[in-house]
Amino acid sequence: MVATGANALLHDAPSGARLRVTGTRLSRDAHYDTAPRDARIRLVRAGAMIALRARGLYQLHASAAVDPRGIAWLFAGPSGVGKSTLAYALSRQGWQILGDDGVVLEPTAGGATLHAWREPLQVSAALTTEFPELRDREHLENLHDPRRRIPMPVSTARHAPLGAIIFPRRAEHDRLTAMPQTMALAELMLQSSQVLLADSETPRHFARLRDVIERVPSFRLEHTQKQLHEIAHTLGAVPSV
Amino acid sequence: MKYKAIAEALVATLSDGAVLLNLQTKRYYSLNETGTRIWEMVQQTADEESIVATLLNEYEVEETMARAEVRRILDELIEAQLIVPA
Repeated sequence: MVATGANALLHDAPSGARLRVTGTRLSRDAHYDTAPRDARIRLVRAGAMIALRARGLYQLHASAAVDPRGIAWLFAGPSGVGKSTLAYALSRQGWQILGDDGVVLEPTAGGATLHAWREPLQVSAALTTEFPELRDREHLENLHDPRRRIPMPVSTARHAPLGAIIFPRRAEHDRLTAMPQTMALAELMLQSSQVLLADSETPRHFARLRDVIERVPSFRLEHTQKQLHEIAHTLGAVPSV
Repeated sequence: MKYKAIAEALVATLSDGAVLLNLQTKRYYSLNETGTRIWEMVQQTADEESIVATLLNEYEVEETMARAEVRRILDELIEAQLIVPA
């Protein structure tokens, strides 16, 4: 896909389909109506991210869960660090889910609000020992998914104020430590890749991510499988969130 | 020698330093507190000698070390295509 600025013409290379983004509006362009459904979904997903960005709302590659007090915890990081798994582990303890592989960040004067990005939460089929209920849904496993994930029903929330940003990393020990702000911003940018579009929205996008990092505490969570049962307790010990 | 920041550089200053985003190369860089101060002076078109003099005035550091640190950071910013000779 190619974006050519705040007003973008998105091009899905495999199908040749195009979708135009004009400000906050999406409109069909060449070959869109005849493109396969998955190509149209890819285009609309990318177009929605750009249109939201024009309204000061930023899609993040992250999961998020809302604690019993109504505070959202964001789990950001590349694929495979445990974002979805930790969110699912929290959902089993009564937390509500805002997103599995994506959420929408709205910077505010006091910090940020997280909004849901509706996609089914999926959990690796390899985790049946930790989550026995996965066995009942193994027939739903996506066979085309190299990570063998199973969609799981969870309680969801629509939006919540952001309390903290967690950057998980798999490790041989469990440790939660405060992140330096520069490191947190750099890692958050990588999960908000439209900041690299280098269009007229980019300075505002970059500045808003900075504002969020300055106002919301960030932590590195090095975790083992043990956290799948202890994560709520671990986060509960974080001061002033 | 004087340097200037490229127009396509965005900077986000934070409590422990700064993050620079080069929109030309689409790469980002982190600076510590000293690096951030040097970046600020480059933006004010200070030359290398006056940057060293300012650091000596603001930090308890030996001149040899300050000079080497300024040169190292300027070289890194040049390598990152974030600054060019003014």
